[in-house]
Amino acid sequence: MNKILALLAISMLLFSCTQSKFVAPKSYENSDLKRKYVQQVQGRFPEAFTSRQRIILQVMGKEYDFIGFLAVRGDSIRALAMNEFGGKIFDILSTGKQSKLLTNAAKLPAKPILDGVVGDLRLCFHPLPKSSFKLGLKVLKPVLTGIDDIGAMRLFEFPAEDRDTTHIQEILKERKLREVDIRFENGNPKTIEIVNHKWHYSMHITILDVKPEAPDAKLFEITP
Amino acid sequence: MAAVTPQELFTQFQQNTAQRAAFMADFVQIRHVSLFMDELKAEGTCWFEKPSKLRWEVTSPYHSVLIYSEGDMVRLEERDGEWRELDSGAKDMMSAVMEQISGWMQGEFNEASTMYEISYAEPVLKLQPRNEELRNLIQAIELTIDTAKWRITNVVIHENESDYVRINFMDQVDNPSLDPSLFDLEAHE
Repeated sequence: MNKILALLAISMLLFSCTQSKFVAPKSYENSDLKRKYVQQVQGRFPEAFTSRQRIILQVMGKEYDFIGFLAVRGDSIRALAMNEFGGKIFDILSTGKQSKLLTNAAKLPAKPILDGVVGDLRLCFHPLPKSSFKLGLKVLKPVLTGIDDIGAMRLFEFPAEDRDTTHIQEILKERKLREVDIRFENGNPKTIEIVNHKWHYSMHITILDVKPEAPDAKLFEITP
Repeated sequence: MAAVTPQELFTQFQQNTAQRAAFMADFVQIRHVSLFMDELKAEGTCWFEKPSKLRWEVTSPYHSVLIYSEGDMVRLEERDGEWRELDSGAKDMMSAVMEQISGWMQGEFNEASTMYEISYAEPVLKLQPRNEELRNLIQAIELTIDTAKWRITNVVIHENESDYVRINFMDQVDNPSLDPSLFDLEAHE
């Protein structure tokens, strides 16, 4: 298992150089639509919650299945990935701009997890300040954009009315880092599809539940 | 009365289950994560056929199937009502786990004794990894054995002092009529 996961990490590193080019949307004014879209992307997840997930990671044509435990409070995230029959794979704590790999049972290089997975989680669960949003047009379709705290652009696309999915892209220096589709059913998040262009992997996450209670503060403390 | 040694237990287990060519049982799997003060409960059914065919199907809260058949395995996952086979990158590791489990189901622990330090205090058989690297992942595995019916009723995989995965087996049926497709690595639902 360790060898397999190490190979996985190496492949992520090897392929981290090639990324897709991005064309920025044209600016577009429509304050009502902007307000509607901002409401749509903000507050879809509670500010503080815990969640359990079933995760399928695909990298280099191979797939790995995990159970995930996640806690989010403000800009802090704790994420635990576990094997089906027991055993932690990794345990991440991210608070503000600092991220740490607290457990790394498979001895993975830290960068693909701390930059890749933590970045994915931030894109999914950390809302931007309302003031940072702008409305734009992309292939004649209105889109919402915003700049996050690392200077990356988030671009939100909204599908046809009959689908409850939000498509989000993160772009830095004209390069698409990652894209995410979050699908809701009756207002509840059901699945998250992540394509990480920088580290060349994808993840399918089935959200088993979301508990909107504030997680215990000790989850976000680094204990020796 | 003298305590039964692990080796005596294995011999008795094998003798008493010699006529059991197959069985099926429902299971409840509880994953306890102390950090999150939370438990994840999964339910499903397992089917076993001698010498080494095992189907492990989780039906809730997600739907996945592991089929192990004489050294090879497939992992199936249901997504949006459709089944797909995963090209599992952990195939070797999962095959090894399935092989171990299918051996234990028959009371075969000879190979386990090279990997684990084994002790028995009725009704619990305890396996502790000899390898330090494995011990960092799994501190111990405890199997509760019902010696009246010669069944493993409960397995607890201890990750550390406070985190564990507990699997309770129930409603076991011995020698049921099993459809061969249950263990077919090619025919997927």
